[in-house]
Formats: sequence, structure tokens, C-alpha cells
Amino acid sequence: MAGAGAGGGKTYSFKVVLLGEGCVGKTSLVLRYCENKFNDKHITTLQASFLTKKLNIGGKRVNIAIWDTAGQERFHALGPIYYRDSNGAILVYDITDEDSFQKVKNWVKELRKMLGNDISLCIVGNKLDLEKDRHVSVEEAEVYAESVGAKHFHTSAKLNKGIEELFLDLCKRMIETAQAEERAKGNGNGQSANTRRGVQIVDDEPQHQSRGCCF
Amino acid sequence: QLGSHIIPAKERWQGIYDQFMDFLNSGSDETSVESFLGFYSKKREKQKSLKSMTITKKVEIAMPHSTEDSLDFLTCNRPDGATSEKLASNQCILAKGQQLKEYLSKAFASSHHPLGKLLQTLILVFQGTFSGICMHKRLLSMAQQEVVSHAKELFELARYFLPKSLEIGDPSTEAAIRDNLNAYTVTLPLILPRFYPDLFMLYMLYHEVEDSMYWKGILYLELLSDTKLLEFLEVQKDLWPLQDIHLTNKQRLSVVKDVCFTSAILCFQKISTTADPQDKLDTLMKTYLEIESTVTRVLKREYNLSMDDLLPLLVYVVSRARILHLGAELHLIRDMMDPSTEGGMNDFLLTALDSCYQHIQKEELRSRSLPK
Repeated sequence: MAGAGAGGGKTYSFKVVLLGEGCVGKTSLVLRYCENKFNDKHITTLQASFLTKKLNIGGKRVNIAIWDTAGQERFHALGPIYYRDSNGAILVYDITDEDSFQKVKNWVKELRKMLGNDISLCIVGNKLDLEKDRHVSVEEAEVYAESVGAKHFHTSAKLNKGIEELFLDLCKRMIETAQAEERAKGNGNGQSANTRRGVQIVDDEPQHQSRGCCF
Repeated sequence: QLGSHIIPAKERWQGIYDQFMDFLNSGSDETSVESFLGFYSKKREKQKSLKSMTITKKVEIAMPHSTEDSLDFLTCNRPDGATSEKLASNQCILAKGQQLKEYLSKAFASSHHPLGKLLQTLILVFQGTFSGICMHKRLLSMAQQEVVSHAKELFELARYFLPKSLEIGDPSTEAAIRDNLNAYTVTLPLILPRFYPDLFMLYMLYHEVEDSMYWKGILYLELLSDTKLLEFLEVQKDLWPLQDIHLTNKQRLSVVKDVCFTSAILCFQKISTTADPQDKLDTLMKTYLEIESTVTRVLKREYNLSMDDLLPLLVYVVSRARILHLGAELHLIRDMMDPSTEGGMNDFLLTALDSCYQHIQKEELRSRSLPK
């Protein structure tokens, strides 16, 4: 669902999945981002489970739909149903909770396996306001993020810190990916209409690198 | 290699459409209808029904008004045709769409109107191809494509029969109307109920195995009382609608059943009573709103239901609603919904429902973690 032209400018529509364990604050993160900006009371969102937002980035109109997922372990196997066809993923962990960071690693592996490099990933360390209780080191997180081709951000939903930057960066990267896809489509004639990502075989490299801190 | 030589749905039954095009090209007046599209007489219909009792019977059941309706076939005298100017463009589109649907639904139901005749032929051909002894789950995608293709053809052909009041005059609103009115939103909901019984049967066959797994899960969860199920699904304690449970002296909380979230459950059960995918999606949306309102009532304040809370509740509602063949329903909605809404809220809700369905299939395996 990359871009759909409508009238003059181009409007991009992106699907972003939100992943993270139960209490990492992913809900407050998106609620903070989407709150009060557009006060139209149209039913286009479902409280905290499905949110939409319109942006204008460098003259390009962008609609993003944020799909929440259930973080509980027992629903883990349902993940692929949700992130099918998504353009971006926000993976949230709690900087005071080492375990939640391990979960993020699992999701990254899965996303890369299912969607390859077409999906833009953001790894987000939330609860920056609890810096004194930090259990996941900044360095470890950033090195890991780089090794899997993701961007790392620090946010605090409580203090409203770092959230705008996170989404802005994610949108920019999704636009780039969409444009690259368009260009590829433009070059390769023929089956341009429905070249959905098929099965992708991804190198195992990032996993090997992270194994040290995984187990 | 199965299915590699299939003729695309659009190219099937060319003969039927060719005949119809010939009729249109000949000037499409009332005198030439019969020579191109067959005669209209009750007697003939009776003869035909003698020959092939089962098929015509089905058609007649599907179209109870077909014989008595005498819709004037090229004109439509609607009194409220010109009122749309005053409405805002958004409402105007809605109103136009509504009028268009009403007009077409009459046309399709009439055995007098060329479109109705065409549809009737298409239904007969569809039933001949896919129903009865020929029914096999492998034919599902062929059948599905055929119905969608018919909807698209009929949407195009409907243009030739629109009365003046429905013609799109203003070029500024034309684009907007185009965007909103397409085969999926206009003709498909109108013709789908006619194809539904046979088509849904194919979906049922296709999902037989999954649906039986799901049903086992449903039967297993049915054994649990309300509070046990809520506990089992790890629904947060403060979201439990315990105030809805009124205990008599002899009852204990742990044995009460079918009391929690009843409004949502009853609402969700309507999903299999309609054919139009949009109606089914609306039912799903209403189910969500019922869950939300129950939660608001329980907590006595607005509460933002994130997926962590919503999904267990939805599993609860789905498992209690006991919809037969939910897998077939899900697949049909996915296939027949307006593709332009992909990625939107309806898509999200449908995905959430799909995940409940998948989860319930697995539930049986988890019997060990039953709460005590």
C-alpha cells in the first residue's frame, strides 16, 4: 500500500505496526503522538488500538495508520497476521527492563524474516524519565540497532520527549523506501501492478552478531 | 500445474455479454429486448421450471418480487431526484450513491429490466457451473473471481440505463463520486446475496479443516464459566464486568455463564445474517463499540483500550458468540471487501478478528494451563 496518487500532490499511505511487551508504555507513546492534533471526531481511530495521523513532510502528504499489537507472550504467534504488508515497525522496550529488550530482538528477527528489508524499523527505548533505573545500556541498544539496520531512539511518553523525532524519521525512511520501489517499478516494465514482496531470504548475519548478548 | 490454464474470469461467458452488447448497440429499446435477451412471459418461466425444477426454484426464492415488479425499464420517476444540489458535496455523494443503489437494486430484481434479465442468466450459469455435483473447494477462487467480475461488468453496463436524475453532471464532484462509487461499493453488495448460498458453500468446503479445529476450541472454551474464561484469557481484573453478574443464593461467582459482555456477543452474532461484506464489517465495528461501552461502564470512566486489553476481550466475545464457519466468513469478507479500504480501520478490525480465530484454533492445545 505504498502510495496512491490523488489529484495534484502525491499522498503516501503507510501502515506501521507497534510492537512491544505489556508494560513498556507503547500505548502511551502513540497516544501522546496522536493526541489533540486533529480534533475531528470522525470515527477513524479505535482509541488506542488503531490510530491514524496525517502529516506533511517536505510537501509530501503522508497518512500513517498505526496498528497496535498485543504484547502478551501467548499471542506472540499471531504477529505475522498483523504485520503483513506493513511499511514500518516501531519496537518499544522499557529501558529499566532487560527482558523487554530481548523481546524486541525476537521481533526484529521475525520481521526481517517475513518482510525483508522493505520494512523500516525503529527501536525505541521508552521511559527515559526513569534513567536512574536503567538496565539496558545505551551502547548495547545502539550497537544492536545498527547491526540490524534499525534506528534507535530514546523517548519518554511521560515527558513527551523524542516522540515527534521518532515518527518524523520513520516517515522519511518509509517515503524513501516507497520512492525506491517506484523507481524500480518504473524501470522494470511489465508486472508493475502487483509486485508485492514475495518470500525473501535474508542473511543470518545480524542474528549471529547479536547472539553474544542474546543468550 | 493445477489451474494454470484457467480462462480469466473477465473472459468467461463472453457470449452472454456479447448478446447484451448487441442489444445495447441496436438502440436498446423495449421492442428489441425480447429478441436479444429472451422473452418475458410467466408461462415460459413455468415451463422452464418444470424442466429444471431445482435451479429455477432457487432463483425464485432469491427473488421473491421478480414477477410482480413492473419497473419501467429505461426511465425512473424518482420525485426527489433534483434535491442533491443543496447538499454539501460529501453528502451529495452519499445521496447519489444511495439513489444509484436503490435504482439498481430495483433493476436487478426485475425480470422485466434488461439488467435484471442479464443477472438472472448469470446466476443460472453460475449455479450450473459451481453448485450441486460440481461443487469442489478447488473451484473457490474461480467462483469468487467470477462474481467480482460480474459485479464489475454490471457496474459498467449500468451506465447505459441510468435515469437523468442520476447522471453525474458536475465535473467537480465527478472525480469524488468515481472514487466512492465502484463495483465493490455499488453492484457487488446488490448481486452478492443472489450468489451467496453457493459461493458460501464453497468457502465452507475450503475451510473445513480449520473450521473444525476452531470449533473444537469453541467447545472447549464453552466449558469454562465466565470468570474462569476471563481469567484464562488473562483479562485485566478491573475490566471484568462483575457488576453484571447477579447471584442468587445458590450460585457462586465461579459457575455463572453467559452474562458478561452479552451485548457485544449478541451484536457479533449478526455477522452471519448478512451477505454484504460491508454489513459484516459494520457488525464487527459495532461489536467493538459494545465492548468499549461495557468497559467504560465497568470502570466508570473513559479507558483507552490498547490491543493488550482488546484482544483478550475480543477472543472472549468471539468464543462465546459461537459463529459457525467463522473461517469461511473471514475469507469471504476479505475477498469481497472494497480493496481501496486496505490498511484502514476495517482492515484492522478484520485482522484482529482473524487473529482471534487463529488463536481459538490453538486454544485446545493449552488445556494444561486451565485456571483452578
